[in-house]
Amino acid sequence: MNDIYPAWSEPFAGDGLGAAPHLALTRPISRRWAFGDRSGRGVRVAVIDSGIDAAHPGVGRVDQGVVIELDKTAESGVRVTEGPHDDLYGHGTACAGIIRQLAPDVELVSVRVLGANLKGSALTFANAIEWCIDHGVHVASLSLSTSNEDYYETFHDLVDRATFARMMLVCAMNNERKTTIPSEFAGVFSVACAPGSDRERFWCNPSAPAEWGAAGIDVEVAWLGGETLTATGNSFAAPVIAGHLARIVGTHPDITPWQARTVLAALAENRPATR
Amino acid sequence: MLARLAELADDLDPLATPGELTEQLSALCATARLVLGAAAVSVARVDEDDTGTALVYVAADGVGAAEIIGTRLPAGHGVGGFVVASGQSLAIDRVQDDPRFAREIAESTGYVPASLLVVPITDGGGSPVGVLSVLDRDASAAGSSADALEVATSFARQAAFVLPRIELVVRLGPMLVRAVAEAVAAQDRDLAAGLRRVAARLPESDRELADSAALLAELRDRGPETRAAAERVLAELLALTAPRRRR
Repeated sequence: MNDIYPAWSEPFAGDGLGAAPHLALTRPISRRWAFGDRSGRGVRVAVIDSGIDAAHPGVGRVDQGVVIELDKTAESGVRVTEGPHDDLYGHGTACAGIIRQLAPDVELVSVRVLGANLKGSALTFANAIEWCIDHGVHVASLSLSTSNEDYYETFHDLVDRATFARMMLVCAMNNERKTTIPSEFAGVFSVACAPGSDRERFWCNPSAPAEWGAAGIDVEVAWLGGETLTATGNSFAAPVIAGHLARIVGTHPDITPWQARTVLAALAENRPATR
Repeated sequence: MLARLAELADDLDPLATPGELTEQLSALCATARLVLGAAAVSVARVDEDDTGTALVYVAADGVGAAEIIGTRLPAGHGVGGFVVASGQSLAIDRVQDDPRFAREIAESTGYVPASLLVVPITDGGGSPVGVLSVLDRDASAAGSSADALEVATSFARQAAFVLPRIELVVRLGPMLVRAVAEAVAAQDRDLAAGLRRVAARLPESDRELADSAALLAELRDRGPETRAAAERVLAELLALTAPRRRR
């Protein structure tokens, strides 16, 4: 018997291959089966944004925090500081409040990449995604993107790494019709606003790149100082999908991103009628 | 006298802003205000100096316009700060509910809007260089928040052609005045040398601009053949280093 295999075929030789990703699908897929108790318990959800105000009643608790900021003296170009921090703008708190509303028991992780410097950086966004992959985050919500094409390959690699690590990366489409990275990549859950304010409803767009639609126009969101505001933007639609994914991962911890896509699509408002 | 002139150059920012360009922006604000039925529309640019980054309002139309022009809002807070840092536009209502925002605007203009819509103004590379803010748009004139965002974004795209030119003049103007003052003080007719001396003391963000100005000043002193050769080299280099489009 020939025991020489081409590269990458070793896992399939002998008895070392683990079980294929399993998902005991029901037919039709129901919300009860997909979302379970809807708590998101045990799921680590990161908000990559301006920080989260843990004291806001709509947020309740932040389990971990890290600040990633540009540092020209650091070899990597960024400084990473773990620990509690404020939300400078209110936007991260808004996103966190939406996730908490949908999946109240998730472990919230605040990854602050928008600081006092007015120039946001693709480098900090990229490092934030990498930090999430390396720190066991299950669902990461990124309402930010870059148009800097120099980072095209960097983000492509990161999105692939996230997918292989079974981290669901949810990205808001830019509010302006222009190419943005990584929100238009096939490997992310890209989200834009759909009409209405009911966060239980979401839509699946069969024509990419804006793959998912959820409430984000004139919606109530948490903000600074324990207050709420009415706000509009794709930024506020992305955490809705992140919240639903947290529910799914909480109920089916071994689910892969591509399986989660199938489940989400089966629950979308525009799903075909069951035959 | 010359030292005073050089000092004056440091304070020139608002005065150095070219009138024709700010008038273009003011006209753009006025049109945007009419289309959106807004109480006020303003344009601010990102400014970097020794004290850090800030938003400086360069044009406005409507309520509080006179008060807001020239106002400098430090980085790290406010809806405008978020929009520049994130590159994402934002429309919010009941802005008074954000106490920090209300205080900040009230202190600068005396007018606190009920609704605010802010979109980024980006350069050719997609980096935000400023913001366009719409205060208290009329929903019946502007349609939904999503519609208003789209209209405001199209005005921001127009502002994007003007804002970088203002920034260039604002940064280069004081630099040239300082360089001339230095050259005269040193009884030196070499403008390039003066610019290089100024460049050595500038923050990194402006050093490149001063160095480029010095290079151009040097080239002007050469013959037409040398200038033509330098232009060819530059054009070839630019073509070689242009970012490759992947799609």
